[in-house]
Amino acid sequence: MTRCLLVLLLLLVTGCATRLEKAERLMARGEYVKARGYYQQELDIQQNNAHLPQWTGRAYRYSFVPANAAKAILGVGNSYKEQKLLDNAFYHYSYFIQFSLRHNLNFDKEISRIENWILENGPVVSESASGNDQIAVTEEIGPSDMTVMSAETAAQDRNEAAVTAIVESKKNEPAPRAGAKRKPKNSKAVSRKSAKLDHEEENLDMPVSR
Amino acid sequence: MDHGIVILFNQLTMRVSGKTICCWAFAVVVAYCAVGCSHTQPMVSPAALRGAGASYRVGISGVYDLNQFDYAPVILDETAKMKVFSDTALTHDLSDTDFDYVIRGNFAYYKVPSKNGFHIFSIYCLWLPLLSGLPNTHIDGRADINFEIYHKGQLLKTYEYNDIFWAERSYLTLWPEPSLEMELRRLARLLLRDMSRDFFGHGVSL
Repeated sequence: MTRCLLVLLLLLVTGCATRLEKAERLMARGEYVKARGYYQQELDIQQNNAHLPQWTGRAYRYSFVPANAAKAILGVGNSYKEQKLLDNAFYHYSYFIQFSLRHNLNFDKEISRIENWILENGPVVSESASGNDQIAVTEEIGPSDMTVMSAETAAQDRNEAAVTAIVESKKNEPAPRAGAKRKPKNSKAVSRKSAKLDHEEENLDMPVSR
Repeated sequence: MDHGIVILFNQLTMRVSGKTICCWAFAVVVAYCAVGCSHTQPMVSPAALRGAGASYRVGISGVYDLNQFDYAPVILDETAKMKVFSDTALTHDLSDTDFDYVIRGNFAYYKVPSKNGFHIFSIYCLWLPLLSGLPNTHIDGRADINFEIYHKGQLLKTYEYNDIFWAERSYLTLWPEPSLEMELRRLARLLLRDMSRDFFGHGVSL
């Protein structure tokens, strides 16, 4: 009798696991495609809940859980990373970082893990890059790559231009919303502040429903 | 509307005859014609974009809503379907050198459905009047989108579209309800039309 109850309880527990939990188990087992399906389902649900804010009696609130959505995005990125689909992984990591900054979520460990991974597997710097490209590139590549680049005179000029552009953009630009991934490590505080400001604007931007 | 309801009620209580059936059929046809939706922005037909093909590789670097959810796959699908560019793909990098142009977008969208007086009236008649196909739901909505076009990391141009839409729905309405996905596809086609006109149509040197 007790055994039957235990089995039933186990079945109940496994059946009641959330999509994220199921996906994590599948990831641990190495079934990345199935896991991605669960992550994507969770993301779709959160996305649908975010369409229209609900009136709670005091204010309009969105009924989605940003942390779950962020975990789902990260999970999709991780599944691509495990499958060595680097472009898709980069895309979803970029999406994850922007999303977590937008909602002021505390995913510092995950973000630093992604930063380290990007430093190891980052995109190759192309010679035809323009001044603005260099802004992105200098933020994405590691210090060792910078040393290699500095050996070339042309690259030096471009780097100087990039540094000037970064300084000027920090002075002039208010807060780019979708450029979070491009922030260097030392500007994390700045980007977090801008994300917080965006978060504060959320209430102002919210459409008023009837 | 109230007058219409009175007529409908009178028709319901009338004896069924050939003439009544004709009237009913006419009413249903009128209702089908009356319900529908209207947008302030046109739906660009694929035929209009057919001759605008350009051999450029275009990347989509996120199309975000107010909550930073990404709808780039929808835009990617629509762009690929319209076959304006030779290749389209998602990219995380605005300055990706693999692409000739990279598109990024931010949008706000809402859709508010509300039941009208006919629906409320129908509750007292066990929802039977709703079988007439007369509209019982009114939908108001709006989408504002801002697309940025980048060329090797440099912002070339921005496009902004605002679409206000309404719709009347009944339980028998056949055509699909306005949705976020349909709205994004409509706005993506506008972008493709304008991009092909501005960048490729008149030989603008970049």
